[in-house]
Amino acid sequence: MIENVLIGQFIDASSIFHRLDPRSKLISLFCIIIAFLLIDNISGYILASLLVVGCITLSQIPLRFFLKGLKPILIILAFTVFYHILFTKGENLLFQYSILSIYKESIIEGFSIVLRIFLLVLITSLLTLTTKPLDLAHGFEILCKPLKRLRFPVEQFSLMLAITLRFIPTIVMELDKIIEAQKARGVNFEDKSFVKKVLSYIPIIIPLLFTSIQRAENLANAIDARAYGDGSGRTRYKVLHFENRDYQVIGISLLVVGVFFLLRMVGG
Amino acid sequence: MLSFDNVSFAYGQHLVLKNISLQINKGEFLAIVGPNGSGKSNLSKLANGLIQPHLGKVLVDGVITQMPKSLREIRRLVGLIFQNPEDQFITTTVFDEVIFGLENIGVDPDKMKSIAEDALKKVEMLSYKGLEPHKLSGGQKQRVAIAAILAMKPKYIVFDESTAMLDPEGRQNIITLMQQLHTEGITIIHITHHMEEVLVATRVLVLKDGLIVADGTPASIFNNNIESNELEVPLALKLKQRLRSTGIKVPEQVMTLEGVVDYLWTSS
Ligand SMILES: Nc1ncnc2c1ncn2[C@@H]1O[C@H](COP(=O)(O)OP(=O)(O)OP(=O)(O)O)[C@@H](O)[C@H]1O
Ligand SMILES: [Mg+2]
Repeated sequence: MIENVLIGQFIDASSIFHRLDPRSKLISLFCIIIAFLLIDNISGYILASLLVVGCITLSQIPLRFFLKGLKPILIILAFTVFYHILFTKGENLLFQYSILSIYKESIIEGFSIVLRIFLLVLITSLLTLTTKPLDLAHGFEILCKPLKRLRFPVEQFSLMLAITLRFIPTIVMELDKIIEAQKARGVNFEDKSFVKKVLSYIPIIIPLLFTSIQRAENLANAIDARAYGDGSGRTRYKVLHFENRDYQVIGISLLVVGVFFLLRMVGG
Repeated sequence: MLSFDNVSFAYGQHLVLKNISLQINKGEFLAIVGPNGSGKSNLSKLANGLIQPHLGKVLVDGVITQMPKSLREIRRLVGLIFQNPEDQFITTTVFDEVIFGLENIGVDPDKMKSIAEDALKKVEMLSYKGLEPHKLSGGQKQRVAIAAILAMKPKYIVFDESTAMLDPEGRQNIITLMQQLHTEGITIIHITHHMEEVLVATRVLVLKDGLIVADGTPASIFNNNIESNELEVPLALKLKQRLRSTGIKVPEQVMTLEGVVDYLWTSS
């Protein structure tokens, strides 16, 4: 459980995607998302699907890890399909029963929206499955550097993200401890009634909140004591390097945007 | 030299340090004892500018802690190790933890790796360098905290009850490390409630209600206190005193139980 949280969804392998700089992966993902949003015809969908299948194969990560990412949104997707089938109107009527009428266009539209979301989720999973959360945060930090001019505290934000990841296991362990302690005092967590269930969580949340506030204060002291200042004069151990492959991938991504743009223009 | 000149500190109306004047010389091993709430932790935070005196001043090697410009250097010079091992582990791995401080004081990135590894070797944690904090014991985390401070090449290290949450073995480990660092020229300030730990110090300070009520060698402090019973006198010293009062002349400089036993074994 704790292991899962700490490394996020990262699955170790030695594919090209694992070796890429997190920054080029972020930029490429951004391009691909734009490209997929441009799709408006069947050949676009076919090309996009081929692209995604190709990337998944190259990533050396078993398909089931990608499918895991789809699971939580299945209900929303199902709802989207039904909504479109039942409520949008088209020209070719397929079926009618009292007030219920179903058109060919609405079926196609419902499924293409779902396919588009599927493709977007899969390609985003490719990023999170092949990049460690901290590297992602680091890449983000560097890409967001220009925001510093607008006084956005980029480095502090990145440290905050890192600390959040760092303390998830600590807090999970603490939660376990508190639950055990409260059980020992006779708090019942197995009650069926909703109100009682909610109420039974109060003796967990309050101590957790209390220790977390205490912890935050200690942590702030520790960070200050280790000479973390306003960020001026700070150096970084890890320096990200763009390799040839990074430029190539970004180039390919831009090309993909161009192709999908053309497909949209040409139609078909 | 670390000097406090007529320092007072208050929370609202509550004066927690009352006109303290204190000089800690290079090469000392100072133990600070005193009941809960006597102001020990506040004294340690004043030493590296985490808090500022309301009256008087604190000087580190002649530099006043109130100057925002010199704070970074002061925090490098005066390392602070806290009580809770978990709350002072800021990053996600042992190695990153040592790197964090180096980044803060602007060390050249090319030199960081060897500096960090040397520091970890010193506390015997090098082989754990890739591990996350939740895989370490409390004592190991404290040793990483010490390595993180050592990497910044401090002249003073303040341990604020850093042994309090450890098991006897972990505690002995840290004490041995303190002694080793002391012989290497680092000034040690050790705040503790364990009277046996005081015996390794060269000087003891007793704090009470924000005032220094005693200042001297461990032997003199405990000798004066054996009757008044304000401090709990370590067993070795009690035994020595009793033996001396019955005419067995255990030498004054014997400070440990083993020492007393050795003397009894060899003298008669
Ligand atoms: N953040 C704070 N706000 C208000 N009062 C505080 C705060 N921190 C400490 N105090 C008060 O300052 C006094 C001295 O506290 P300090 O932590 O220095 O004592 P201590 O000698 O370290 O005690 P302990 O042995 O318990 O660690 C205490 O009376 C405490 O209540
Ligand atoms: Mg304290």
